[in-house]
Amino acid sequence: MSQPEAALFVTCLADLMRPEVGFAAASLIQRAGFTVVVPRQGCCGQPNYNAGDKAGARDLAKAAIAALERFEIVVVPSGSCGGMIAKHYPHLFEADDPWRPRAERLASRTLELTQFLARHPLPDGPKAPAGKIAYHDSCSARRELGVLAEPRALIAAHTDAEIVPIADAESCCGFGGTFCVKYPEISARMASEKTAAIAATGAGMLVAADLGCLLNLGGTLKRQGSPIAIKHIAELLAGEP
Amino acid sequence: MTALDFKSRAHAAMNDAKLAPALKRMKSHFQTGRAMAAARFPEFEMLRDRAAAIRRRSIALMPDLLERFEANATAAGMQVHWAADAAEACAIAARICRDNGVRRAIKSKSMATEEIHLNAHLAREGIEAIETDLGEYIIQLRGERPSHIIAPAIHLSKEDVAETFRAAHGDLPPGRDIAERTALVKEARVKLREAFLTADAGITGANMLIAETGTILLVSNEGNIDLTATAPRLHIAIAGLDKIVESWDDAGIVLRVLARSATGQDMSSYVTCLTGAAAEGEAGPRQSHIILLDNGRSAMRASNKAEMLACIRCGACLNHCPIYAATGGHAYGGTYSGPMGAVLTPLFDGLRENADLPNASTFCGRCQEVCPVRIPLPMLLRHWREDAFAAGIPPRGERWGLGLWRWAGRANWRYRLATRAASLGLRLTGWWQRGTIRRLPLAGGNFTATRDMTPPSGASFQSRWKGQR
Amino acid sequence: MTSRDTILARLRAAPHAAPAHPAPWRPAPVDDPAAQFTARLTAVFGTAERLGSPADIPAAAARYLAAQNLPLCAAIAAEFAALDWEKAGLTPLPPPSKASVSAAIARAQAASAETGTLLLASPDPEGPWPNLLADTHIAVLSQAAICASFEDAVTRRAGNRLPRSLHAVTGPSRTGDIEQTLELGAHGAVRLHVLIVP
Repeated sequence: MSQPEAALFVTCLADLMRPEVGFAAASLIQRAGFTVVVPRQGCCGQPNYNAGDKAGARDLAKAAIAALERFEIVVVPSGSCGGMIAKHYPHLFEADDPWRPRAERLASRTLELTQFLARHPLPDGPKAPAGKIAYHDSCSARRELGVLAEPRALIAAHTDAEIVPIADAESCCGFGGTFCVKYPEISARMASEKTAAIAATGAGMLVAADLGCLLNLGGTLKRQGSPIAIKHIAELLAGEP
Repeated sequence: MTALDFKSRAHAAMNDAKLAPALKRMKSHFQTGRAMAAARFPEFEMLRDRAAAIRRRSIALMPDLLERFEANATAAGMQVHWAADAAEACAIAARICRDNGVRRAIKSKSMATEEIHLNAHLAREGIEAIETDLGEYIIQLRGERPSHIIAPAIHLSKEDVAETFRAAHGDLPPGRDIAERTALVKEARVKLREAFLTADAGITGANMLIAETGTILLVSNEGNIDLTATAPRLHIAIAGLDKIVESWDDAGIVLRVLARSATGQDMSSYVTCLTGAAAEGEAGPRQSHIILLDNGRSAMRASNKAEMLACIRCGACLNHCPIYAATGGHAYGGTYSGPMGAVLTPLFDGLRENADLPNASTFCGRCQEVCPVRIPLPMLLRHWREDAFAAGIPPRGERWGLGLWRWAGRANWRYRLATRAASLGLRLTGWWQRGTIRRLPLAGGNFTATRDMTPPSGASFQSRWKGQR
Repeated sequence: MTSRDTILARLRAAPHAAPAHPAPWRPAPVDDPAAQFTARLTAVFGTAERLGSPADIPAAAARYLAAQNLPLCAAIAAEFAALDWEKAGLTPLPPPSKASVSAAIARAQAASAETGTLLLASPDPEGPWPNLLADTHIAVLSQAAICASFEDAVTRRAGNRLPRSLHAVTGPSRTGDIEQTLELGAHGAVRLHVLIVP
């Protein structure tokens, strides 16, 4: 068996809150022709990094680097955590720190799930039924990683979904990690503007590639009594109900 | 200044029924304007790159360029002053006014003079300073501060303005019709024309200082800057050190990205270029001064926030910021608002007092995306958060939580134990609350205040994945 | 130590590496600068008319004022005083030096086609006053004075010695300060009409 290996960095949110996303991502990586390895892992360190605790973030990054650096490809089902590793890890270490080249190497091998699937396509199969869906881009995927076309192409290729555009799509949903608990009122305002735009699309389902946005928007929709379901793109593509 | 903190001000702003529609209008107006201006100018992105390099070069060469500006401006007949801080800048301006018998000055919009609270200082010296930019004039009459760097009265409706004018222009017939915007603009035009033609001095800011000729360049749409700098016998400009650029070619490139980013115009309606003082018979003041203002800028240049000095004050980051769109500018509590204000205000008014500003951001990155000179605003906000964390400013609970998370994450068994406990806790809470978590304790309560939470369907992914290594 | 010395010393104590100086930029040349000038000016609510001869200025100005329902009177720059205003039915007023006037007719010495911009200057016989103090500014512009860019217009007008003030004016004065809604004529000219002469 000479199938290449890919490590799955599942992210704390999927690990804890929505394990199905981890299993769906693993099955997609497998279908793309890779053996999935899930090394023992923790948090990427973003909560500490975003709170100004650079030393704390550095410690958590070292643990993640040590766990992941032996793999040629690391797949992350989140633009936020993927962006942390691929874009921010190198900045955590000074130029002369021996961890710097290790962080850079890992950064260059880390792909957000839809980036990975765009490079390593899934085999054609029956198209999963999906109906009318609204796709929300996370800010980190859109702006940090430049991921915009990939999820849409994947959805078009592997589901029968009709993607309807969300007005003011470039605006943030208001999650922002700890932002949503530090500034709940502003966060709630941003979330309700986004859910209003989503509701206006007439879509039956909201799909995104970041669990943070989904928990924020899905939770807001549910509290509002909206029937719109939420799904991570991994679950949608894997054909999970 | 206001005693309330950011969260209270934001709360008040978000519950102001008149503010939300004004901010919505602002957002769509400015965002559409910029997008259309960029779309009809194919060179926009290329010129943004050049403008970004020009501004960084200006920061790097700042001392040499300022000296060059000083030499050329002086040779052309302008008097150049240097002010280390706000107090010194105010004192210099007041002294110039006193020495020349100035009782009444007209002003064009200048964020630098807002920053140093010049009007209040001049008033204490018995000198009246009248704002002439329509938005600034309105908020001056109301005793407010600007809520947007290029649209200071964005938070007000035409009814608010009419009420303000009725109160302030007591000499005009009370029965006059000023219900419509056109009538309001005309009334201000007539009122301020008197002021332009009778004031002893004109006070302006500067958009750029061109080193190669010692020229002050200003932009406006109303034409009030041209009148302010030309009609009175004396002109005083106040400019941050950061306004320096090397050449006219540089200024031309910055101008082309500035108006497009700010209002979506290809060119500001008025670009005013002032060099030296007027000769006998030439239009303009015979005496011209410029005050070069440091007020923390040299310290910022020596810090990891130096790139902020590249800012050309276009307002695009405010116009595209979801936080600004929710709260408006007054919530920021300083002279500047939005992402650029969140970087600048801790510098001018203290980090401890303004620690919320760099934190009140989701790091969505839209500001950096639209910044004409590509300032990495989220990174600069992050640097402030790092400074605040190092100074022990975040609340104790937050620091302990982060410390605990760091400690747990350093050994995988501790992380797994923590996730396992959290998963169990959430599932139990979900069971207890009949399938959907509607209330969580502590910080989690802020999440569930407006959102439901679906509890995990089962144990954590890692605990269920077979053959983990 | 003066503040000047302190500030410069602080700046010099923090050296920065300077990126290379980016190349200057100019718009690509166009075949008909007057047509581009007119198109860009029109886009920002100014207007322009091309005349066959300077002798047509009075009639054109009168036509414009009449079309706007404005009184047929204007402050006329000395340069154009000898033209036949009477025949056009237009009453000359004193020039607007430090006093408001309903309309003013004066030459603009340079312009930029790139953005439909006029360049007025402090040493011009009327200075910038026709734009700043008149409600209606009628500018006379030689076709040859229309440059490709703002920078070229500045060079044409100022040469090696910059005047005290240069005023680049693009369309009528405007403000969006009340409810983000465009209103013309905040402080400068409410209407801007350009007569392009050969």
